[in-house]
Amino acid sequence: MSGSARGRTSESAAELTETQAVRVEAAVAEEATFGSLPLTKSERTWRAADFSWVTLSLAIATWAFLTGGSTVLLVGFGDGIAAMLLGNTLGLAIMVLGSVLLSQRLGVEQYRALKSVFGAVGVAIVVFTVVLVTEMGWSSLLGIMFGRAFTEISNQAFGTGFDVEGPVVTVFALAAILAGWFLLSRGPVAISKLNRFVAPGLLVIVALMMVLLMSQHSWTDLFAAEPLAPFEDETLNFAMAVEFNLGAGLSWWPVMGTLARLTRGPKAALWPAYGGIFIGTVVAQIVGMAAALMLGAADPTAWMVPLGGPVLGILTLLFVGFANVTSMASIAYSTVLAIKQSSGRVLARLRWPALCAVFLFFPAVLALFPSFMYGQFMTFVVISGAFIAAICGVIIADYLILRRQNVPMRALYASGPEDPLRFTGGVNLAAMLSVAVASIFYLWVYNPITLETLPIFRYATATVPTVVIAIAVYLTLNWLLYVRRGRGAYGQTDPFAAAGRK
Amino acid sequence: MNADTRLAEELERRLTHIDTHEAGDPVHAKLGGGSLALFLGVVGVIAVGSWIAGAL
Repeated sequence: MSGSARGRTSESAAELTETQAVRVEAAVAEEATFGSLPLTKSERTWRAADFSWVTLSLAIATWAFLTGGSTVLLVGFGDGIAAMLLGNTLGLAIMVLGSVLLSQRLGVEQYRALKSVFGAVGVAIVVFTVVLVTEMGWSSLLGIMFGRAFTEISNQAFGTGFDVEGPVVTVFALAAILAGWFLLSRGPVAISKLNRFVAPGLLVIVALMMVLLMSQHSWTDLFAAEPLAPFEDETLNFAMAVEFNLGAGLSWWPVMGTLARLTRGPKAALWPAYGGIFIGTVVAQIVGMAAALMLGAADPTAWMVPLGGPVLGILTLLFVGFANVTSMASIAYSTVLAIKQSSGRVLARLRWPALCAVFLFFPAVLALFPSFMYGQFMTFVVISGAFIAAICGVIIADYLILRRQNVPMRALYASGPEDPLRFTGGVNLAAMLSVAVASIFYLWVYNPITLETLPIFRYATATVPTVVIAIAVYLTLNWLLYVRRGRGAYGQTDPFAAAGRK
Repeated sequence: MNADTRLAEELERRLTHIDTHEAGDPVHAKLGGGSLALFLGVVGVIAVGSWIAGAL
C-alpha cells in the first residue's frame, strides 16, 4: 500500500470514528431529551407562569367538552357546576400530591422517580396496565373527535352525508393519529411550539362558543334545563357526577410529573398543576354542559356548524380538530417516555419515532370502534380513576409520610442486588397489594359498569375512601415488609437538606 | 466507546453536578408545611363550598 493510500485509509478511519462519535453524542442528546437522565438546574426552565400556560392549554382541550356533556346526563347546569368544582378540586389535589412533588424535587422523569414507590418492576407493571390503557383511551378519543370534526366539515362543505359514527370517522381518526405521530416523533420542543398558538386559540374559541350559545338561549333556560338521562335518586345523580369529575381530575396523573420536572421549585409545580388544569377544565366544561343542555350534544362537532354558520363553524371545527392532534401528542409524550423507561432493553433500543408508532398503534385499533369509544366514555374515565386514586394514595403515603420527601436519587439509577430500592425482586409488594386492595374496594363501593353503589358512595364518593384505604393499607404493609427490616432506603439523610423548604 | 458507556458517563456527570453544585439550591427544596397547609386549605374551601351549593 502506498503512503498516500495509507493516508486516505487513515483519514477514512478518522472520519468513521468521528461519525460514530457524532452518533453517540446524538444518542446521548436524544436520551437527555426523551429519556430518564436527571435534569440539571440550567435545563429546568419553567417558572410558575410557564407551567401554568402548559397546564391551561392541556386542560382547555376538547375532551373537556365531553366531560361537561357527560356531567349533565345526570344533573342540571347549577348542580353540574357544583359537581364539576367538587370533583375536580379533590381529584386534581390528589393527582398533584401523587405526581408533581416527587418529580419536581429531583428533576427526574415521573416513572423513574416512582421506582422509589413501586420498585423498578413494579413501575413497569403500573405503566403497562393502568398508564397504557388510560392514555390509549384518551388518545383514541381525541382521534375520534378529530374524525367526527372532519366528517362534519365534509358533510357541510361538500354535502357528503357521512355517518358521524361510521367508517369515515375511523379514516379521519387514523389520519389524526398519524399526524399525532408525526408531531410526537419531533419531540417536546415541536409540541410546545404548537401549543403556544393552540392554547390561546382554544381560549378564544371556547369564549366564542359560549357567546354563540347564549346569544340564542337565555341563562334562565339554561339553569332550568333538566338533566339529559338522570336516575330517580337526585342524591345519587349528584354523587355520580362528582365521582365522574373526580375521575377526570385524576386522569391527569400519568402525564403531570414528567412535565413538573422542568419547573424550578415545589410551589412552581404544585399551584400551576392544580390551578391551570382546574381553571381550564372549568371554563371548557361549562361550555360543554351548556351545549349539551341547550342543544342536546356536548361535542362541538355536532353543533358548531348549525350554530355558527358554515364558514365560522367549519373554521372552528378545523381548529378544534387540529387542537386534538397537539393534545394527543402532549399526552402521548409522557406515556412513550414511560414505556421506554419501563420496558427494559427490548423497547429501549427502539428509536424514538418507532417507539411513538408502537404506542399509537393501540389507539389506532380503538379508533376502529368510534361509536363504542364515545358510548363508554364515562365508564372508561371512572374505571381508570379507580386505579389512579389507589396509586396516588400509595404515592402520597410513601413520599410525603414515610420518606418525608427524601428519595435517594442515585438509587433510582442503581440495579442489581446492591440496589437499595430493590424491594422484593424489583417489586414493592406493599405498594402493589395496597393498589389492588384499594381498587377492589373502589369497584365494590361503585361499580361503573353495573352502576351499583353502596350507601357510603352517596355521601363520601368512592375515590376519597379509596385514597384513605390505600394510604392506611400501604403504611401498614410497608412497615411490616420493609421499613422495620431496614429495607427500601427509608429514613436516610436528605442530600438536599440544605435546599430548605418553600 | 459505545452509546451505553457514554450514557452511563453522562448520568454520572449529571448526578455529580447535582450533588456538588445543586444540593443547597432552592430548585431542590422540599414543599414546606405551611405551603402544603395553604394548598389543602384552598382545596378544602372549594370542596366544602361546592358541596354546600350542590346540597342546597
